[in-house]
Amino acid sequence: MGLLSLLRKLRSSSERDLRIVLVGLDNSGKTTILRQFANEETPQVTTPTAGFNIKSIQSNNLNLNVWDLGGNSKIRPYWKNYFENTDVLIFVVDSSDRKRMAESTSEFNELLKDEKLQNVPIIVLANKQDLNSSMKASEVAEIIGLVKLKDREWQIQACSAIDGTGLKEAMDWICKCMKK
Amino acid sequence: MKLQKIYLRYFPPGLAFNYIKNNNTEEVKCIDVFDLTIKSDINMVVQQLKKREPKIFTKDILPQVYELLEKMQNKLKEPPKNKFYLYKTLQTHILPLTNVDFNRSGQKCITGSYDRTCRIWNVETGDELNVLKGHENVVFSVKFNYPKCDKIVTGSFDKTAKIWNVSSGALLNTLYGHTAEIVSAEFNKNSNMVCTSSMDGTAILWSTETAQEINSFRQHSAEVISCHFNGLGSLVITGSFDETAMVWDIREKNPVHILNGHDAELSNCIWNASYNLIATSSLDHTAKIWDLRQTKSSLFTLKHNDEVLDVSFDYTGKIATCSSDCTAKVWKENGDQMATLEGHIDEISKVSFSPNGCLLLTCSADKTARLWNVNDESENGICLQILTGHENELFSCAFNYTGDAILTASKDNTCKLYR
Repeated sequence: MGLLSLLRKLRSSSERDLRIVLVGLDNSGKTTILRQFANEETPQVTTPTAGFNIKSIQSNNLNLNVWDLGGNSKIRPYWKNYFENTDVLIFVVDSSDRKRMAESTSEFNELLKDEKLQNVPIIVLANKQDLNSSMKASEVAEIIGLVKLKDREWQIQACSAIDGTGLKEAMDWICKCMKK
Repeated sequence: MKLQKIYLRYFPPGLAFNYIKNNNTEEVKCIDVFDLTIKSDINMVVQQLKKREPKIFTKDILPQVYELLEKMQNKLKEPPKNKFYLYKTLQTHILPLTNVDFNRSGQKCITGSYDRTCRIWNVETGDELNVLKGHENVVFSVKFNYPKCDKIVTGSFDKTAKIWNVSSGALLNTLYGHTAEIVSAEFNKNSNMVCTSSMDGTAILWSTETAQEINSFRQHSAEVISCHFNGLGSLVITGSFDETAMVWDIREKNPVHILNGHDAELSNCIWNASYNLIATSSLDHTAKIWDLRQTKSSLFTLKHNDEVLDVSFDYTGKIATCSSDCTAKVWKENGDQMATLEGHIDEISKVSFSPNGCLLLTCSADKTARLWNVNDESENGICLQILTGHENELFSCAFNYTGDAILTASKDNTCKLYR
């Protein structure tokens, strides 16, 4: 990667180069989702991301540079660093963690307020559907207020990062969205 | 005009005279003493200098100059340090590091980070001396003003550059004008000007004192990722993703030279120690060396098997290049290859000679930095040491000015000091 590649990924080169930002609370499964997107093996244990991970993914003739940003509350204020020129925002929710749904909602609302993300399409991934205790995607959409959004395209997608269920659908929506 | 202080520079041998002018402004005049070697007769060197620059080398400073040259010669005689140990881990940044710099004495170093701060460190104790806060986005470029090193310029993704006082940490000025991320910023030797380059495709020259724009260079057609003053501060070179480098007279709007010849984005462009040659590295798998007097075509082309990510000169004229092909190469002044440095298992993003030119430092995405022998005919290209300890890829590395400390900065949010 290196600093130079980071600069290259910063610029909006060709129309087929998309910049996707992947955020959500800590332990919501962002890094595992990124690995699934990139068809990499997902290890049993993923250490918290103390910074960011980037992967370039080819899908539907598009080149997606996906930035997975660490979700620790200390580094959430720095998400803004990466918002410039974002094409799609992915927000990941741990659907099994009912206790932190309010925290998720408030972070989500902060994102909606950000100028740089105005009109940017948002897809919310209701992750960890493999767990019995998980809320349904529709419930998650209701709680975080997704259904009330009128000024941008949005989508809710149930998924399980561990086995990859639902992620293909998410990727298809992103690509469809970009080809419009 | 009054002489305030004489700085000495060991590598390459040189002296810098800091004057206070009658209007209370400062001027630094740098004199190269490249012919000083271990064997030189210092009296002879002094006489030559006096002949060359009679206005500077006046009778009353000659004894002092003699002493300084003696000190420099003794430094040249010292056996080069080539064994380093992890001395400190600097660990207060909460996001990945970007670039680093040592001050001239090597007592302080600075680090830039994605956490929007630049931090000043005491190299001896590993203590954080100051946190420079104020940027609203990634601090990408960090530089001291050589040779004085009482100021710092930071270039940020927030489209501004800021000038800071080293001892107090106070913000002195903010440079507004770029319309995209600033990726490179440095002072001229007089410290009265700053040059910045940006993803907006321009480079801008600023007054340190007033923060006003003095000139802007707007002929590149893509991101400008590197900008450097020459020794006199009369010229600036810029390297761009538009596949060219340009040489600018600081008073003109159009480039004096356009270095045309690469087939892909430039990754760096630099001056040699005497500012008559320019090296450019490119993603077209080559680096090229250019003579400032004849810029229609390059002097020679240095080839790798993949993107060349960085290039460096030592003061004698040797050149080092590093590449995504996991190797670094060392080249003679005439473009002949001296050695291929093999061992890294991922791309090498930065390469830097020790100040005396005996060692080469490389840093890689394989989480290590390596030290290579590049001085001894029979052992050229031997890896002397692998500097380990980082948990993620390395973004930058630097030697201090005396060559006895190394700094590495990583995506793992830490910076490591080896001594």
